[in-house]
Amino acid sequence: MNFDYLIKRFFSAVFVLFSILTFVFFLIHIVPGDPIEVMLGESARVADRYALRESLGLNLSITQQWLNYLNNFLHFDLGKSLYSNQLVIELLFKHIPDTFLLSLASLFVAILIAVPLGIFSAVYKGSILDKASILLATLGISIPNFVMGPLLILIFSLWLGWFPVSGNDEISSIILPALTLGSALAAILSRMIRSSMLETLQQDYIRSARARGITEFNIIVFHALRNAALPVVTVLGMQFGALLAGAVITETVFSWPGIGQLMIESIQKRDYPVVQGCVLLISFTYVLVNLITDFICILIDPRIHDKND
Amino acid sequence: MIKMIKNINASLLVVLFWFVCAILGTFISLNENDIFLNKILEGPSWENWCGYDHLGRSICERIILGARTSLCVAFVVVLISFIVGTILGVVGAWCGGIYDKLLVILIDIFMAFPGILLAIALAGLLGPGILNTVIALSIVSWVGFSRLARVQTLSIKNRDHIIAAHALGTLEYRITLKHVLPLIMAPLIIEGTISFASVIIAEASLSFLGLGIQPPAASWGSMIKDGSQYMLVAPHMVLGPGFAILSLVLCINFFGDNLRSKLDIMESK
Repeated sequence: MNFDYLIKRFFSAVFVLFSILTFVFFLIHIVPGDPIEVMLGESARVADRYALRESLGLNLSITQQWLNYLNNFLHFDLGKSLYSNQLVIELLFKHIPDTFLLSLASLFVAILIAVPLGIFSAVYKGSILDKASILLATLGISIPNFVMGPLLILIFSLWLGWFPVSGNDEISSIILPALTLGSALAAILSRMIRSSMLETLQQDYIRSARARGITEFNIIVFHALRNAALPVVTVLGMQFGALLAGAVITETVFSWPGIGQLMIESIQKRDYPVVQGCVLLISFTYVLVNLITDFICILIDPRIHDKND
Repeated sequence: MIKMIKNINASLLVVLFWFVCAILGTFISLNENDIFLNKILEGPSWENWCGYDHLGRSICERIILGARTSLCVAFVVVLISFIVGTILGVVGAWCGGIYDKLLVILIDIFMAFPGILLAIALAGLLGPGILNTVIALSIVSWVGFSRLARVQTLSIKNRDHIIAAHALGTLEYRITLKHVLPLIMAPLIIEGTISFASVIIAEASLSFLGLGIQPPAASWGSMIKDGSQYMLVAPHMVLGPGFAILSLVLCINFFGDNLRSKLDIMESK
C-alpha cells in the first residue's frame, strides 16, 4: 500500500478543514450591517449590545477574533446559543443522532432501489426495462425533496393513512423522509451501477467464468458486482455530502428534529453561533466521509494509488 | 450547432413553453396578487385550471409569474457563474504557476461544502430577497465552470495550432479568445444546462425554506411551502407548482443529456 499517497491525502484534508473553519468564522462578518444590531434588534439597550459584543468577542481585532475562534474550536467550544444560552456543541450533539439515523436510512433505501435497478438495466441493456430505469433515474434526479416530500405525505399519510405525517415518534415515521432523501441518490447510484456493470461484464474473466459453466446469477452477483462496486463506493462517498445538505430540506418538510431543522430554525431566529456550528458540522462530516471513502477505495483496489501518482 | 437545432425534441418544447410563459408573464398584465375572498382554497375548474390558494389568489397566474422568477434567477446566476468561472479557469490553466495553485486550492475549498448547504447559510446570513439569492447561488455555482474550464484548457494548451499561434507571435489574449475559448465552449455549454436545472431547484429550495424570494412575489418554492400547510383540504396548492418545477427541471436534464450524447458522438467521429 502506498503510504505516501495516504499521508498526502490526509494532509490535504486537514488543510481543507482548516480553510472551512476560517470560512465559517468569516460567515458572521458578511451579515450586512452590524451583526449585533441584527441579532438584538434596533431597539436593544446599549448595555445589552455592549455585553453581547463582548461575549462574542466582536470588540477585538479581526486577527485576534480569528485566533480565539481557532483556539476555542480546538477546545470543542463553539460558543453559546444566543436564544437558549445552551452550548452550541451540546445542541449539535442533541440533534446529531436523528440526522445520522435519517442519512443511514436514506442510504439503505438508495442502495435497496439502485442495486437491483442498475444490475437489471445493465444485464438487459437496451430493453424496455433499461429505458424505464433511465427515465426513473432522470425523474429521481429532477424531483426536488420539497416536492417529493409533500407528494409522499399526500399519498401515503393523508390518503392511505399508512405512515405518520411528520415527527419521529414512531418507527414507521422514518420511512417517508428516508424515501424522499434517498430517491435522488438512488437515481445517481443506479446509473453508476449500470455503467460500471456494463464495463465489468465485458471483461475477460467474466467470459472465462461463463466458459467454466458458472450460472449467470453467480457470475453477476459474485464475479461482476464485486468488481463493479468500486466506482460506486466513490460516488457513494461523494454523494453523502449532497445527502447531508438535502437533509436540511427533508427535515424541514417532515419536522424531523435533526441538524437541518436546527440550522433553519437558528437562521430564522438569527442565532448565528448555532448556524456556524451546523455548517461546520455538516461540511466537516462531508470532508471526513470523502477521506474515509478514499481510504476504503485503496483497500478494495490497491491499483488506485498508481493512477494518483 | 446546426445539427443540434435540427433535433428539436419534446423536452426542448417544454422548456420553451416555460420560457414563453415567463416572457408573456412580463408583458401581459397578470393579477397574481388579486384576492377573491369567495374563492379561497377553491380547487381546479374549467375557469381556472389550477384553482385558488389560501388567500384566494389564482394559482395559475402565480405559476406563470413563478416561472419568470425561477428562469430570471437561474439565467442571471448561470450567466455570472459561466463568465466568472470560465475566466478564472482559463486564466489559471493558461498562466499556471502560483495563480493556478491558488485557484486549485480555492476550488478545493468550495467543493468541500455541499453546494446547497453553503447557499442556505449565505442566503440565511445575507437576508432574504432576490438579489441575495442571486449572490448566494452565484458564489456556489462558479466552481463547476471554473474546474471544467481549467481542465479543458490544460488539455488543449499544447495542441499544434496553439503552438503555431505562439510561433507566429499572436498575442496571448488573442490566442485564448480566438483559439482556446471556441474549443472549450461545447462542454461548458452542457455544464451550463445542467447547472441551469440545479440553480432552479436551489432557488426554489431557498424560497421553500423562506430564505429566497419573499411574499407577495410569486416563486414556486414559496408556493409549495404555503401549500404544504393546506395539503389535506387543498392538495392542488402543492401539485400545481410541484408539477411546474418537475416538468421544467426534468426537461432541462433530458435536454442536457441529449446535448451531451450528441457532443460525445461528434467528438468520437
